[in-house]
Amino acid sequence: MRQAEIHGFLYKFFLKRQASIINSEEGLLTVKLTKDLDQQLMNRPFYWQYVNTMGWSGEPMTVSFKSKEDIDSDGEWIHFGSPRLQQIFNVIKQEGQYTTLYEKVNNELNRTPLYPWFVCNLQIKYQGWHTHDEIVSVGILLTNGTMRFDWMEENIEESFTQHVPDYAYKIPYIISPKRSIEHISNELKKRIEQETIEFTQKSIDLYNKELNMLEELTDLQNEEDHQFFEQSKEQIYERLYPKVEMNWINGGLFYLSNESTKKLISH
Amino acid sequence: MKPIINVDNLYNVLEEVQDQTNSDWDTFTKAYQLSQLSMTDKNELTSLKYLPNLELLPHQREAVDKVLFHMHGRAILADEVGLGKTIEAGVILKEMMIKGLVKKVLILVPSSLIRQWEYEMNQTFFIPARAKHRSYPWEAYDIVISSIDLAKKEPHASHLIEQDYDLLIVDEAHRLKNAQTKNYQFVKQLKSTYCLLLTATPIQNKIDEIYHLMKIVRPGLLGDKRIFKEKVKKSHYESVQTLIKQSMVRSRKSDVQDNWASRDIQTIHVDFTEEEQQIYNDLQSLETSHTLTNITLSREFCSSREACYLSMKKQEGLKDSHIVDSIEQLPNHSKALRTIELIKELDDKVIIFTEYKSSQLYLQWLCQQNGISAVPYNGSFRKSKKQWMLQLFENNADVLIATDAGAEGLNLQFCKNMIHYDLPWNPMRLEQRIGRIHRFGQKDEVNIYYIVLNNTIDEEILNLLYDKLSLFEGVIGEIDQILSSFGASSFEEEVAEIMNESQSTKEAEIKIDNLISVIQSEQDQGELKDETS
Repeated sequence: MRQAEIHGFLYKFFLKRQASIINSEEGLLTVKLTKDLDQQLMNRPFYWQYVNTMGWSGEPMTVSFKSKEDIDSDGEWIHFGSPRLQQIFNVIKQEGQYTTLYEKVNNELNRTPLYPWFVCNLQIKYQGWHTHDEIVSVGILLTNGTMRFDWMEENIEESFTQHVPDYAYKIPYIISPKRSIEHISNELKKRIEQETIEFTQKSIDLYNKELNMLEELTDLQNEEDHQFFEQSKEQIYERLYPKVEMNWINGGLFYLSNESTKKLISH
Repeated sequence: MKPIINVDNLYNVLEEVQDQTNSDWDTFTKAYQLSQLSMTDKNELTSLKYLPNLELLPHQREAVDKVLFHMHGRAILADEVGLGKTIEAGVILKEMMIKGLVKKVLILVPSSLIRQWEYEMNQTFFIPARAKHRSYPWEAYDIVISSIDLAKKEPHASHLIEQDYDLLIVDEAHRLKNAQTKNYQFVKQLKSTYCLLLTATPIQNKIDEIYHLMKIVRPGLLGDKRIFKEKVKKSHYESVQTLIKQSMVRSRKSDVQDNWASRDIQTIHVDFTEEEQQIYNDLQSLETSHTLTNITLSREFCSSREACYLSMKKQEGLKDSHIVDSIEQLPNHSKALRTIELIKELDDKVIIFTEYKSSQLYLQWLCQQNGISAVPYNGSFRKSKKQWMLQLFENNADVLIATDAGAEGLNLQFCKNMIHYDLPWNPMRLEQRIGRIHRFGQKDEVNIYYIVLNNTIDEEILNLLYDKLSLFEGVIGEIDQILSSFGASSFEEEVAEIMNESQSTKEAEIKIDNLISVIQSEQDQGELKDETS
């Protein structure tokens, strides 16, 4: 995110969450928060606890954000990496964790069936010889178990709504979301094991080398030595043994038309 | 061979998120894109994206890369003073946090640097590090800063040893070099996956000391003590040095000098008044119980009437001397007056270093008399007072009058003038002082002034020692260590000894030259070892 994009981003963020925009000029935004936003962003739990106990409505804060340098006005300086922006990102990530959505279809002649997909967007963390992340987006068609990778990339331009469109109906799923997560993680495990042979090998070599060095050259004479030895072994394992962790970014149920489903499967 | 693949998170999370309200498509895609934004790549620094105002210098960048990508997060950072070890540690910590490798962090620093670390972590790196407060237990902190002196005491020590830390940072880690000390025993017991030891003291020439530090960072790397000693004995220096380089990063000022603001050094000569000179001469011939006392008193008198007066008053046999009375009669001190003139000429922020607290007081009073706003700084101030004084100096006052004690580690690069009111007899101390303003971040040329009284011990030292200062370049910081291997206590005492014993200036000069050449030859050998490794 470039610095120049932050103002627009903040504006949309607050507008969407019903904060009142008091002032918005280039690089300077003043908003009166809602109670929800105040509780999420302003770090004053004691105030809200007090207000709630007293049965009062409470007064959300009015805040100014500066996103352009050399603006001669009071306000919090926001840039990529500032804790405040991170907090706002987290609000969005939290809200966007799960969904059920329907493709927008306009077919007034026939009743349109919508097919159920379960979509998983995951962060895969590799740790060992090196550390890095990967993001995978997988969709699984819940009527027959067909799996489709890069699901988000294929659908990011489409529009979805939160209500079943008129003249459309849902096809019930045969595989449950819980089962489909099992399918997906098994498939990912298989792929990771195949694709990370080099990473795994190098990590384990490094791990063994470090461990051998420790074992060969440690003189275990007393209790203290033993303790230090065990502690060091654990530390080396934590750092170097190849580990892969899958974390949830977001996902949910998506109902897609026959055409869209076919398109996704045929690729 | 298979990696360990952990999918537990997925099953648990589904139960939780399914209960949430369904998000709309727009929020859903944004959440996905924001996650892509925070992805990390292998062998690449992600944290710099989050730190737009931080510019890493090439040697710092190299150090960070090495520690993260080659040393896998356990290392000794041993850059010379002022090259930005704290910055390097901050970036490494930030990167590990972003990569999700690190959550619980323990930072052990000298107590005088706690506030500075806290400030720097929060302001420069947006890392929510907090100084340990007595009303909260250690477990309550994710990232906590404390002094090692507090941490090693009970009940803290037992609590800390129970914790599983992800990262341990120890600043001024040369305090751990002696394996017999409580410091060392304590730190060795701490459990942490990653570990950074920071030290400016170039331990690599004292091979024995680095052994113990390395044992904390990479146990096993140098083998057990017996094997290690044999290796060193057989002078397998190269192989040992190569091993050390696997886990130690060290940049020298001379390697990165190009990027430095230049420093301009001027000596200002001052004459004593006749009365003052008379007293000074009397001090020379004073009968004292210990011959070194004359030298001490002369040095003090070159600094201020107060410094000399107070220490004479304290000593039986001296306190009734007629010299004490004459000192009392003096209206002021020529060196101090000249200093005030210089401050006025500079018309800019300036730091004055003196060795004596009584001179510090006198100078402050004199500044005040002349309408110059000056703040004091010394080692006996409480932490909060030190902080307050520094803030005053940065924002309001023109002059900071400091003693050497307590000034280590300060960053004062917003100031570019420094007056050495007294000349330290140890060039290492001089370098420490200058390092406060002549460090990375200093944009301007740095002006250094020595104020020297003619025909006094001040001038002798200037001629004997300071003219040879260039010979110390690069060796600064190692002097005392080199000397201690010869059984000498410290450079300063060695010089005092020479000044005292020598019958003539010529003799003193020869002896000091000898001292310097000893240090130099040791230094050359050290460098040779460095190069061959």
